[in-house]
Amino acid sequence: MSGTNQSDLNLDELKARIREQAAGMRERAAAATPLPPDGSSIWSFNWLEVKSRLKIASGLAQLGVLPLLPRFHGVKRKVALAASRVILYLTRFLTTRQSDFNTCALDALRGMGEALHAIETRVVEQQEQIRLLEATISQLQLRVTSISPTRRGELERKAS
Amino acid sequence: MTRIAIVSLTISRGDAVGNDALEMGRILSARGNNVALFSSHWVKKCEHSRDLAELDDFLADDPQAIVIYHHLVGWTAGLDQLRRAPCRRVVKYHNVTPGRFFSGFPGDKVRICQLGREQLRELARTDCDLYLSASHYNQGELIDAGAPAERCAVVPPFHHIDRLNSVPADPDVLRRLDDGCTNLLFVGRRAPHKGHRFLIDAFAVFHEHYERNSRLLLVGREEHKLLCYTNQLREQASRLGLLDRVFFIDGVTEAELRAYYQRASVFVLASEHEGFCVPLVEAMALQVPIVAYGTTAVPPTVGDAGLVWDEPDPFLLAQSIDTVVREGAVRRSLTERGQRRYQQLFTNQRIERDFLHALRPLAA
Repeated sequence: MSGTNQSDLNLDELKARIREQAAGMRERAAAATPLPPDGSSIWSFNWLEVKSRLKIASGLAQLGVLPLLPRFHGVKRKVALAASRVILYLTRFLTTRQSDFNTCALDALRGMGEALHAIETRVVEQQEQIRLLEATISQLQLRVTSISPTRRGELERKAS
Repeated sequence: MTRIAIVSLTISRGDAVGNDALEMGRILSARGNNVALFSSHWVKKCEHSRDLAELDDFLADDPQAIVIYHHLVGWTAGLDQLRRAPCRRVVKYHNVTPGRFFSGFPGDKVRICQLGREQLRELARTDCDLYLSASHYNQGELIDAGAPAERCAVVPPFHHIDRLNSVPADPDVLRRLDDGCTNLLFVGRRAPHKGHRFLIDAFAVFHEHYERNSRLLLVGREEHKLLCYTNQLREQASRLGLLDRVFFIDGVTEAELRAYYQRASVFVLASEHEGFCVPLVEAMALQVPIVAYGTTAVPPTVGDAGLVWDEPDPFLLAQSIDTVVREGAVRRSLTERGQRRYQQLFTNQRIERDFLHALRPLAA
C-alpha cells in the first residue's frame, strides 16, 4: 500500500482491507500443499532460550533455602518458618550433596551450551562463505559460457 | 507530614504492581509524607519495606493516616488489615484474573483468583474514601461491584519505562536477533489467560504463508506451578514444526528486554484477560507497532495506536503482522500514534499528575 499517508491512515479502511486479504489467504492456504520443514533451521541453536533457562536453573540450584511462605501471616508464619528451618537442618546431609551436584551439572551444561553456541556461530559463518563462493562460481561460469568457442579454445590451449 | 501505608500482597521491582507501588511510595515520600510499604511477600527487599504485621504500629491510630491497598488477588490478611485500619482508605484495583483460566492446572490459583473476585465485592462495599483503577475497564468492574462512582478515578499504573529507556540494550541479544529475521515479540508472564496458544497459531500461519524467515519471541516469567502450561505450548509449537522458531524466554534483565523491543518487528498480543497491560505501553514508548486481540482492557489501552481485532483469528493476526512489517507507511503511522499516545496519557509524569489529582479530596 504505497499510497498510504502517515497522517491520513484510516484504521477502519485498513482493517477492512486486511480482513479481505486474510480471507483470501485462508482460501489459498486451504487449497495449498503445506511447505516442507524449514531447512535453514537445521543449525539453529536456540541460545537465547537456553541462556534464559540456565539463569533460572542457577537460581534454583541451591537447596536448603527458606521458603517465602507468602500466604502465612503472624504467628502461623513464625511457626511455619521455624518448622521449615528444622526440616532444612535435618535434611542437610542430602541437600548439601544435591546442591553441589546441581552446581556442577549446571556449570557443565553452561560450558557445553557456550561451546555449541560457538560451533553454531562458526557453522553459520562458513555456510555464508560457501553461499558467497557458490555465487562467485556461478558468475564465473556465466562469464565462461559467454566467451565464443574459438576464443575459449585459444584460452584452453594457452592454459594447457 | 501524613503517614501513608502502601499495602500489596507482593511488591517486587520488575512486575507491574510492584513498579506501581514502589513509584507511588517514591512520589509520596518526595512530597514530605512518611511513607512505608507493607507486604507479606517480598521477592526483593527494598527501601521502606515492612511486614504487614507492623501496619497497626505504623498507623498508630492516626485518623489522618492513609492506607493505599493494591488489590490483585485474594488476600484475606491484607483485606482484614484494611477493614481494621482506623484511618482513610484508598483501594488501587489492578484487576483479578478470573479463576476459570487456571482450572486444570496444579496449585491454588483457581481458589485465590475466585477469592480475589469475592473480595472485590467486599472492598467495593467497605466504604473506602477513594477507589483508584488502572483502567476504565477496571473501574467499570468496581462500580458494578458496588463502589460509589463519585469516589472512583482512573490512574494508570506507574511503570519502569524511564529506566528501560535509560539502560543500554544488551549487545548479545541484539547480535543474536540482528540476522534479518522478522521478530514477533510478546512480553508477559507465562500464564493461561495470556493467550500464548493463539499467538503460536497466528505465528504458524505467518511463518507458513507470509515469511519463512521469522521467529516468535515469548518473553515473560514462568511460574513454577504452571510449568505444564509451558509444556503444552512447546507441544503445540512442536506439532506445528516450529519448535526452533518459537522462543520461550524467562528471567530477562532490563537491558535484555530493551534489546528485545529494539529488534522487534511487531509487538503481538492475544491475551484473553488484561486489567491494563503495561507491555502495550512499553511497545508504544519504544516505538514497536502493535497487533492485538482486543479483549477486556486492551482496546482502551491501545486506542488507535495499533491493529486491534475482536477475535484471535490466526489469519487475521498473521495478515495484520504482514501488513505492518511490509508497509512502511502503516508501520510509521502506528509507531507515531503509539509514541503520541504514550506521551499524552502514559508517561510517569502524566500518571503522577493524575495520581496526585485523584488524591486531592483526601488532602482537603
